[in-house]
Amino acid sequence: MLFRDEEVRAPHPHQRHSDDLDAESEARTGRGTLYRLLDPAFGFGIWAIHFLLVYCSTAIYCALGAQGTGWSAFQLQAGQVMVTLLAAAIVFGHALRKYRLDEGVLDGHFLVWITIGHDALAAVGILWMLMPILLVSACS
Amino acid sequence: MSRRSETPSSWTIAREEWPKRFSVPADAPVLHPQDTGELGRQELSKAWKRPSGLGFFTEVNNTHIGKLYIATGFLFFLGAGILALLMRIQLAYPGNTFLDAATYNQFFTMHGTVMMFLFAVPIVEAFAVLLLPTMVGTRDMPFPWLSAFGFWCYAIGGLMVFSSLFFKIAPDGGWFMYPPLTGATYSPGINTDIWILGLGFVEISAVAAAAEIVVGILKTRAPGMTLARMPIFAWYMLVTAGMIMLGMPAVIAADILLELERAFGMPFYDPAKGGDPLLWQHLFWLFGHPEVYIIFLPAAGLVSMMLPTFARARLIGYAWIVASAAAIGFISFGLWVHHMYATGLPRLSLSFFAAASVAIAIPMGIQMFAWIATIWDGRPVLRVPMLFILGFLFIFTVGGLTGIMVAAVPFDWQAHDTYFVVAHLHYVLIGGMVFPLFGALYYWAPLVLGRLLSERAGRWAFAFMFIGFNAAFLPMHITGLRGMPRRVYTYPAGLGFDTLNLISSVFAFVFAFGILIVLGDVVRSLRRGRVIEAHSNPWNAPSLEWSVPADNVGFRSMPIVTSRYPLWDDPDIGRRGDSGHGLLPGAPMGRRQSLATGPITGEPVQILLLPGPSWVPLLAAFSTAMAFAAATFKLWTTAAAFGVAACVLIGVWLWARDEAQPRAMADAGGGLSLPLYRSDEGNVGYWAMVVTLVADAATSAAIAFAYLFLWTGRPDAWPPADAGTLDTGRAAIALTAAILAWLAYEMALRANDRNWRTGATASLAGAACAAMAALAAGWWWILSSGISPTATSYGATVWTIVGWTGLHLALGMVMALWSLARMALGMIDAWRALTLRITLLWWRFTIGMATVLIVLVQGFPYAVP
Repeated sequence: MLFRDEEVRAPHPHQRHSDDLDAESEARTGRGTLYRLLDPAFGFGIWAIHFLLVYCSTAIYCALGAQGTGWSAFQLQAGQVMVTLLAAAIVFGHALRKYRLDEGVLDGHFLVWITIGHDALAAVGILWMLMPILLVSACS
Repeated sequence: MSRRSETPSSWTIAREEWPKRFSVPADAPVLHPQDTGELGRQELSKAWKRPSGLGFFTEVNNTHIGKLYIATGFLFFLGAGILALLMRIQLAYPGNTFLDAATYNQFFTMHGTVMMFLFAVPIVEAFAVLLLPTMVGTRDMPFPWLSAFGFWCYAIGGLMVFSSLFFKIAPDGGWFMYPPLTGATYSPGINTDIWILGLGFVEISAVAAAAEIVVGILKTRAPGMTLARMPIFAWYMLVTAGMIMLGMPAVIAADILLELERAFGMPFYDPAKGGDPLLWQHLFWLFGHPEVYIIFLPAAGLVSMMLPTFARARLIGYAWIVASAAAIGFISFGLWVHHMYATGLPRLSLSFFAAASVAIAIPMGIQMFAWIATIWDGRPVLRVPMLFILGFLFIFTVGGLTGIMVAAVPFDWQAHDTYFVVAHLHYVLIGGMVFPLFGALYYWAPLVLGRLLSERAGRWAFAFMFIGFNAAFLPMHITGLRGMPRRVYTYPAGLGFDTLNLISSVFAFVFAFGILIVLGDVVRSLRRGRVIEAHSNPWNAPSLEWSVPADNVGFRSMPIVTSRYPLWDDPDIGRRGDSGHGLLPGAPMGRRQSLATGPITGEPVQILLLPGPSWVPLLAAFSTAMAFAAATFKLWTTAAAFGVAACVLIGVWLWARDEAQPRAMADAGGGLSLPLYRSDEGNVGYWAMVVTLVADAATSAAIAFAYLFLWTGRPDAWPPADAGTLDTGRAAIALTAAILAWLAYEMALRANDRNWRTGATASLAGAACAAMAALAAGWWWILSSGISPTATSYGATVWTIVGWTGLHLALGMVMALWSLARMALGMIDAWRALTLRITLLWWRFTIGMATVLIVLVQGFPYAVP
């Protein structure tokens, strides 16, 4: 009633389906509730662990020095690159597995796509760390 | 009756599916039949009625508490805003003497502190408390006494902190209160203690509200509302509440450490004794950066709710927006060092945070494009809330762009601590949060107040606010780049700051005038605004809260939801619910009832019996507040007395929980019958404990971080040579006793499951004794080590870690005795086992945490070669 009569019309019919992933109810899969609730956050969990590893290794290396840790600057960098690629691979693998496993399930689409989306964003965040790792020297 | 209104047959949960010990016998009667007619309606009105007179202070329903919460938040906004205007008067001319330096210090500290801690976070939580239950299709928050307690803690604590201004003892170290400025040497007065204790108290209430929001969103939704059908605001609040649970603990830990240093001389931040001021900065910003996203995300959620209404189109990219919100929530925990670029940290470390600060622009941008696409796809109508949304889009984007600029380390080295940063932060905070908030005010006023706010006044207010804000803050970019530092109470003439500051000051008042218009409009409309009938949905909005009146009851009966936009796809839903064809159409037990649902599928699993009005939450909040206040002023006896009173009241509160319910099903309406009690993982109280333990884990991690961080500061002298030694044997004894206590508790639960009361009682008694032994052993362990808590930072952190562990074990012991008492009184058995299960969760967490922390202080770095 706050819009004039001609302004009030039903929303466009074509809009009904595009993101209408809520059409079916969520599937009763065999997996537990906690898994289904937390699995979408897996990618970010890997991102967080990766970030911690990379940040802490730098902090410890710069605090203790090459003698204290027994690493060289190159070893630190190579290790961080490997951890980054490994983390990205884990996240990518998780997304792929989710896509294959649940593709056939008609229900429960929304959480599947959310999980894959989260994995994608987490992978971008992880791989983006290669920029400083490769371009910036450690402890200046 | 349409397909939509039928109860899905899959919801009639086969009783055989339940574990035997939780299940209701197949031949048990279905109690408390629901009435779908006038009787049911009367029962509901009676059960949910707000008590009159002084009972105003006892009401705990979310609508009542939500309105109070929002009003209090706006009050603090106005107060902090006045401080800003006074500061702008002082800065209008170089060499002005309107405020002296000491007063100015208090003003800028309080402006920031009040805005961030007493306005921004509480008001977004307040909107959630007020609107979220009806948006997700339920009648109240899952723990009404907890929301009331949280609100009163915030109101009383906040008022105490704010009133320190009138006594000229307000905190004055900047809103982030860096030591050593705020240490005992340079801030000997009581100002800093007011900040620490007053705010610490408010922070705890924020964490309690967040725990409740998480449980409410996941466990109490409308029947049929799957995660995919949740209103977008619920997703944003879920992410935000999760961030509060993980981020606030860091600043709570920092506050605890600072107060320990100030009051007891335990050096965490004092470099002379091995401390490090950077520890504060890390802990503070670990909270501080997620904090700004905690403030922004709910506002973005409000925008995402309003936009479909005014664009008259569904939100484009709902799933994209959900994914982006979650991404922002997580990645925001990886940005904190961008507030510390100028501290001399290694360049590589800084670069990680620069990279992450830039990366977060991706999910931010996704949201922006989704909103723009929605407007593009729709047929937008420029009502006042839409104006505020457009203002938000513009101002927040500008703020985001300057954010990318300061994310670059070399640029930030130039702009750090200048007015450039002040400009940036106000663009993102005012643009990103205040503008959506005012839009939300105009949008939901017809629902909550039953009156329309004035469209004309709103347009004038928007114009003054938009023009005033931009003209006030845009020049600050330039003043900052010209070199004007933050937090200066005056500046010399002729450096290029003069005219720009005058412009900022003048237009700050223009902005304030816009706010004054809104204030006047609200006051006027409360009496003479156009009346809006309940159920009329004046904006033709799609979400569920518009289908019910904003009173205590809310949903006469809970309708079954089958779409993300219920009022657009199923316009009959409000009428169906109102005529009693949904679930819980009456209150046959004379109690307030709601539904507990599954977290993913939204299928009803239990009838929740909610507590009604009571003095307990208010009195408990008052006692806790007084205890903290007395402690601030070092009135130890008074503090102890109020502390005891608070514990007693909280004890009364908890004792009343886990009520006895018959082992039967109850009629839930719509042909469905549900249990009144569940003690398994489906119970909302169980979830609340899990979520609280997550916050506890974050606090424990922050304290462990302090230990490890201070080690990196002096790895060769950790522990310092003459500090004393912890004995491994004694550590092992303490830990073993603790593990035995935990195992006894596990045995108690299993014995109780088999209805073996003697075994369960004996195990609980054993757990309590073992816990006492663990405490004694731990005390012996730390005392015999000869480590002083005040001589070195090593000693301080070791004592803190051991004390923290001991506190958890002591609370575990109290829980064992509590369960023992309830068992002796026949209040625990195999069916009614919730108390045991929840307290066991505490023990499982405590033992894990204790093992990690004891091994850390005992073994690291001794055991490392």
